[in-house]
Amino acid sequence: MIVEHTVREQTLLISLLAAHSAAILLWVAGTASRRKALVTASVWTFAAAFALNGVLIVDRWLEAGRAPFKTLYETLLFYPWCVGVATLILLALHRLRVLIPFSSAACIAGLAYAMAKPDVEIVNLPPALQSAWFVPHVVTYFIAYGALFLSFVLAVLAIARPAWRSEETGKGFEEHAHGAVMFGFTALTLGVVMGAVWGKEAWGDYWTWDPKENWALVSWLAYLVYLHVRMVRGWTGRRAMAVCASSFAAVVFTYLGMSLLPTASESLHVYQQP
Amino acid sequence: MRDIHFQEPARSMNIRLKIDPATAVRIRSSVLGVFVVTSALVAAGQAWSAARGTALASPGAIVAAGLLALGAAAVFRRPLYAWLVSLPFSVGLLGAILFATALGTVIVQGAPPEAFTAKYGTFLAGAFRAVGLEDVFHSFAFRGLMALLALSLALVVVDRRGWRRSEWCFSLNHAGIIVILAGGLVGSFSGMKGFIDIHQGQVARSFVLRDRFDRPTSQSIPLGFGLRLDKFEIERLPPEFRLYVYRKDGSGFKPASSRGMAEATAWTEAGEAGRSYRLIAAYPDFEMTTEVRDAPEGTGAPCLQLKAVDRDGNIHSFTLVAGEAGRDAAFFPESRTVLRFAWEESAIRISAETAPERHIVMFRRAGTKGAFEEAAMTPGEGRASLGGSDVAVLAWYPDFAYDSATKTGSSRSPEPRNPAVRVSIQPAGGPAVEDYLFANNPGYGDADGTTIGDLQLRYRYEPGRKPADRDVVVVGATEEVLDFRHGVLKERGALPAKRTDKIARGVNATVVRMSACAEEVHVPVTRSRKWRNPVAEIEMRASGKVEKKFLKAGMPLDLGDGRNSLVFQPKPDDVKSYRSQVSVIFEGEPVSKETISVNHPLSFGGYRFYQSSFRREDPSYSGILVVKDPGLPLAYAGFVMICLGAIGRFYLQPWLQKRRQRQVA
Repeated sequence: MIVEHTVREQTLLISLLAAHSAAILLWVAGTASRRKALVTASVWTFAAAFALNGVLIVDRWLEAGRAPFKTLYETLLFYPWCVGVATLILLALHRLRVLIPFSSAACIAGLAYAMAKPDVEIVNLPPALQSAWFVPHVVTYFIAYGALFLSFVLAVLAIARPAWRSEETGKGFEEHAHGAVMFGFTALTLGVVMGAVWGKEAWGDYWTWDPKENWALVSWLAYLVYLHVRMVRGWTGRRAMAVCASSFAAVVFTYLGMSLLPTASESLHVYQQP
Repeated sequence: MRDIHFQEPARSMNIRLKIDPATAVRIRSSVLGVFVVTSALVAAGQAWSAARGTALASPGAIVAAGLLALGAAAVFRRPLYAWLVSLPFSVGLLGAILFATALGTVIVQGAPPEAFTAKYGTFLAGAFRAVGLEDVFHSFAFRGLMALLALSLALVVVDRRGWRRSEWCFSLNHAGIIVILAGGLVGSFSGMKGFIDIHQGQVARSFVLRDRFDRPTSQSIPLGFGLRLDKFEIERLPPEFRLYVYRKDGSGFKPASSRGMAEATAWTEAGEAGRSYRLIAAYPDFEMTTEVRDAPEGTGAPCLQLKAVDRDGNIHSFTLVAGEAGRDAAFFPESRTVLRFAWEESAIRISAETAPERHIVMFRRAGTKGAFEEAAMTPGEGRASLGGSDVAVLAWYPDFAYDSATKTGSSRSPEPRNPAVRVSIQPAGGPAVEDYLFANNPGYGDADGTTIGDLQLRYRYEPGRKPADRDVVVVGATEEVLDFRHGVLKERGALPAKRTDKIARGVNATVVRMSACAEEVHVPVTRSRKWRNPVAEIEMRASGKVEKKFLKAGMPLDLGDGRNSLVFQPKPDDVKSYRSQVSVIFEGEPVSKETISVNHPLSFGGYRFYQSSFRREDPSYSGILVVKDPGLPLAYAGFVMICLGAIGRFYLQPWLQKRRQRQVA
């Protein structure tokens, strides 16, 4: 009996939603009751969900015979994994357990969106996407998106709790938000450059003022504005964090808002809605 | 001191100009300043396009305006410099570029003027045009912002003395952008983009230039060499047939589900009428064959199933049914033999007698419903008086065709496929009328017959009887084979015991099965493994009843709700690669053979050639994009610089710093 891939994928998706929900509940319960064990359990649940998400991606990769980053649905399975990577890195480096409920909520949002808009089938990769740049370009970008999501969460936390300092490291949310931006911005730069080089190989131009490219530039410029603003006297703290948090809007729009643009119909990057 | 500082005091800014606190800049005023500068650039751009072609745009005037601007800059050089190298300026400028870029995606770019006005209305379209928003990225103002960015970056690098070792990341980042912009500038001045439309076997020696919106111009640029398209090929993935449910969505149908053949073997509910389907089998090269099976007593007929091989090696399978006119014999043209099947010898009607063909003219009085009278006539011979009219058959056409040019009838072949006669009818006391009568189509229009004068006429063709050269009869009951030549029995033998032996000498057929009481069953088979005529055999379940159906590829099967249909079809987008095999021709000689495919352009003679398009209806066509960009190495150098710069600035430098601190400690 063949276990159908679609059934397997649905099962994995539902398990993932359950795991992330459990991570949130454990964190809330642990924080409210001040029980460290529950928060630790929440972290491990999150890590398990991340591993399961990895299984989901590998399964689809094997089923498709290509990297599963072609359609909106496929990236919606990948985005939570990237949020997971960024979260686990920050957990390992700075013990920022406070990120768990936010990251899990973002994962749930992405996975629920994926479940609401599933692909009808695994589509073939068109010739333009059959390139060595496909995987590094997309992976770099989504890692950037994951890190920048965390910078957004941390910036909001920095605005809400400017005085908070980590017991272990003595750092506040602002420093962590800045760290996430540095990581995300570096990945964004590498991603946009890889995209440009790939564009040159595939379509003859490294920059064509295509809407997705333009919004990638807008996101990049938004974080560049943040990086410069932060160095101006009087603009650290809440003001810089507000710029940091609002820059994430450009990322979200770049990822999901392209089909709203009147110029998108000619774009090569816009995810076609099935 | 300026009102700026850095987070890390160790890397404080090196200020070479003493700046008065009064000229210090703040973010808010800087953003305002950038806005003013941008507006000035927009105004300058519009003034330039208005003045173009008039005396105002003379070289002298441009030089004068330039000198004026330089003079103003020289007078205010200190505050201007301080502003251009300040962080608030960078924030303002980046913000302006960000905003302009976003606007360029919200407003349709490079549309033809009429379409642009139609989309936004006269007022908005006019307003957008006034500030260059109909083509943001090529506008004077946007380019001005880019120039300002390059200038500011250059000043910042100089101001911070970026050549010092400690500043390598800062310089890589900031100079990297300048280098990319320089690459873009070089590309826009000396680069070009064009297109070659080419067919297999043709040689392109030039390309059609394209404008910045990728639209073809009337200008043709010689390449300096030839590019011959030797072959264009589209490589496809092996077809993957699936069962799709299409749902009506507005005006069209969209796929609602797709199941591979393995998955589709399980029952699946589809549509809104509670129907389920499952795949039983898929036939790549479908053919419905008939098989003979024993039937219960009294229901079937004697059947002989045969397999014959023709001269070309094709295998034909057919079934003869005894006693059923038209199905009891088959003709073997190669041996001019009729193979017949009868269950008993007494049923055989073969004789050496011959009978000529007959032409029967049928007639009755027009307007009556009585029976037709008949008269046998010979074409071209004699006349007869039929029902009071004088009738003659003038000519016979075995396979009638009407030539509308000459307005005459003729016969396409000697085979009696469409027998017709030309008749002449002369009613008593009237003039003679000529017309055609058709055996297959009596009285075209009037099914009862053709009315001429007071007669209604029909024509019947009776083919003559002539014994076949050879009749081979299989007698089922006695398992005998009778061999007739020209209607005379010449030989009598037994049906071969070994079924693989030929039925008779010269007849390349073997018996597959013979039965006294059998019925024919239709059996689906696939002729080959190639997807020539794909058909899915499915079962459809509706309110407990299961029905078997054959679903031909691409033919929708309604799922009973008028909204959903089941379709068996291959997965779309099956193109794996588009490839143009080309030869570069230099001074009349092919110098190299290359392959251009998507993601693998060909570089030659300073150009890059990209596989860009194809035409479904024209398989020998290939569309090749030609790009020349001398600024590319600069742009790539800039890319490398900003990548290294970003990694260095955010990771390498802090790490090195930490290490140094640790060493000091």
